[in-house]
Amino acid sequence: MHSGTVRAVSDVSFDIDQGEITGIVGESGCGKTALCLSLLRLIPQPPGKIEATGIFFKGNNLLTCSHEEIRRIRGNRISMIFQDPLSSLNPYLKVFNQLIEPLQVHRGLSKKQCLPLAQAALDEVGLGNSATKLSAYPHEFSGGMRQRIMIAMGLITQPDILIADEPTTALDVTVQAQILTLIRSLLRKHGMSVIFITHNLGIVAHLCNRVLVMYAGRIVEDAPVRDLFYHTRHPYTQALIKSLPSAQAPDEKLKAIAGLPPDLSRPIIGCSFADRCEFVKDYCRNTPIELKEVEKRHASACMRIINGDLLS
Amino acid sequence: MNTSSIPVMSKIPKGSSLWKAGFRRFLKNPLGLSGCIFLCILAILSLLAPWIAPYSYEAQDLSLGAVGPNSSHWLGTDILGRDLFTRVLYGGRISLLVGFCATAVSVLIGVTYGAIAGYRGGILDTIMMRFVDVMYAFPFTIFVIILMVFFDRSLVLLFVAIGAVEWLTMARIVRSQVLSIAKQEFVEAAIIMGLPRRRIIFRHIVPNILGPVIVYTTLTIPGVMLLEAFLSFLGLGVQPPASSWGLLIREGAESMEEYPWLLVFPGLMLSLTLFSLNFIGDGLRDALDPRSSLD
Repeated sequence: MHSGTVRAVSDVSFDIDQGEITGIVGESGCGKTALCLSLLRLIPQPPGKIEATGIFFKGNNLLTCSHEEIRRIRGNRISMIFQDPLSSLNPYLKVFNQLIEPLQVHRGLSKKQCLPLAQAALDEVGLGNSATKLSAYPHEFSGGMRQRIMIAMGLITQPDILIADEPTTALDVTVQAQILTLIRSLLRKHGMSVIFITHNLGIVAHLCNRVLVMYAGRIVEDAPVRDLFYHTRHPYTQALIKSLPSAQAPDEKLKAIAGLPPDLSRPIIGCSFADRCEFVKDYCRNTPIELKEVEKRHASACMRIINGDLLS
Repeated sequence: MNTSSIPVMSKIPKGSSLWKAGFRRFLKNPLGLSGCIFLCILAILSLLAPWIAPYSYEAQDLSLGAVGPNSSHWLGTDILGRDLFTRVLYGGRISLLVGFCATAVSVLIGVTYGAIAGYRGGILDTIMMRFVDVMYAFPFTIFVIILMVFFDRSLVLLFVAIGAVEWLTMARIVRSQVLSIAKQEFVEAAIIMGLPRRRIIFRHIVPNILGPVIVYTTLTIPGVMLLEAFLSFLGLGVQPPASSWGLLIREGAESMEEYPWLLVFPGLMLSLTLFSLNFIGDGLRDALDPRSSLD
C-alpha cells in the first residue's frame, strides 16, 4: 500500500450545448462521478484538489466563484440526481418537505406557495394522486417511485443542466425503461441539458445525443452517438461495444476485456489502455496522449487513430 | 363476481413516519411501558401536590416527634413532626423539576455544540472537542461550591450548574452521531442541492440523530437527579423547609437507625423513578433503533 495523489480525472475538457443529452460512459472507477462532482466543486479540497483552467457556466467560473455563488447555482441552475434514491432522501422528512426545499431555499417561496408547484412536479413525473403521496415518507415508496421523486426534485427549479449519475442502475429493467422515457420527454419539454452518467451502452444508444467515453480518468473518445457506435475511433470503445452480449448469438462466449484498469496513484506515461489494447504499438506507451479531433465533431485519444495508423 | 384481481385500497393511509413506527414498538415493551406509566403517575401527583398533600410541608408538630407510618401520617413523620408523605410529594416536584430542566439545558447546549463540531470538522471540531476534554477534567463539586458562594443558592443556579456539567457527554455523543450521519448520501444530496449549512445541520442531520439523543436524555435525567441529591446531601442544593428527595435522604440517613422510614421512603421513590427512567431509556433505544425492521 502506498500513499500519493490519485489522479481521478486527467486532462478533461468538454462543452455542453443547450438541450443536448451528453452521456458519460465508462467502467466503475473511471472517474465519471468524480468529474461531475468537480463540476459543482463538490470535491472536498483538502484533501482533494480540482485543478482546472476553469469551469464556465453562463458567465460564471464555477472554479473560482465564491461559496455563496456556487451554493446558489447548485440545486437551482445545475441539479444532480443519484443512483440510490432511498439513501438520497431524508428518511425523517415527508416527501412534500423535501420536494419543496429547493424552492424554499433558492426561490424564497413559502410552503403554501410551493404546494401547487409540488403537486405539478409529481404529476409531471407520473406520480398521480399527489396529495396523498406528498404527505408520505420515502420508505413508503418503491424504488421506481422514489427515483421519480428524485427526478421531480431535480427538475422543480427548472435547472439549465441536470446531472444524472446512474439514476437507473439500481432499478429493474422495466422501470428503467419508464424512467428513461420520462427523462427524455421532460428534457424536451424544459429544453435543458443533461449529463447522463452510466456504464450501460444500451442506455447511451437510446438516450444520448453525444457521448464521452472515459477510461482511467481520461476522455478517450468524444463523439455524436451514432458515430460512436458505427464509426468507433478508439480500441477501448470498440472493446466495450464488443463485450455486449448479443441477442442474435446467445451462445457466444462473452468477450471481456482482459486485464484491469491501471492504478491511478501512479503517473502513467503514454496511453493508459496500452496494457489491455489489442492494437498496441510501442510508441503508444511512450508518447503522451491527448484528445484530438479525428473527424467532424469526433475526437479520439488513440495515438494510432490520430496518426492515421489504424483503421478499425 | 370478481371486480378486479388486484386488491385496491379504498383509502390511502396517511404517511407513517419512522417516529410513529418506533412509538408503536415502544408501546409493546412491558418494562418501558410500566416505567412510562409510573412516571406519568408521579408527574401528576407532583403537579397536584398542593391540593392532595394532607399537610403543609412546613407544618411541624413538635409534640408528635418522629412516628412511623400510621393512619393519619401514611409515611410517618420526621423529628419535627413534619408529615413525610407531604414532604416526599413536594420533594418529588423539586427533584423531577431539576431532573428535567437541567437535562433540557444540557441537551440543548450539547446538541447544538456537538452538531456544529461534528458537521464542520477540521480545526473547529478539534478545538471544540479539546475544550470538552478540558471541561471533563474540571472538578465539578468545587465549581458548584464556588457558584453557590458567589451567587445565592437558588433553584435556577442549580439548573445552570448541573446543566453546565451534563452537556459534555451529550456533545460527545451528538458529535459522533453527526459524523456518521454526515457521510450518508442524503446529506451529500442536500449539499448538492445548494442548501445552506445551518439548514443541513438542523433540518436534516439533527432529526436523524434524535434517536440516540432521546435515549441518552432519558438516561441523563437519573444522573442529574442523583447529582441534585448529592448536592442537597452536601447542603449545597435545596434548603429546608423546602424538600427534595436528596435532602430527605440526607436527613433520613442521619437518623437511619432510630427512624428508618425517613430514609426508606424517599430512597424508594428515588430508586423507582430512576428505574423507570432507565426502563424507558432501554425501551426507547430498542424502539428507535433504525435497524429494527419497520412494521
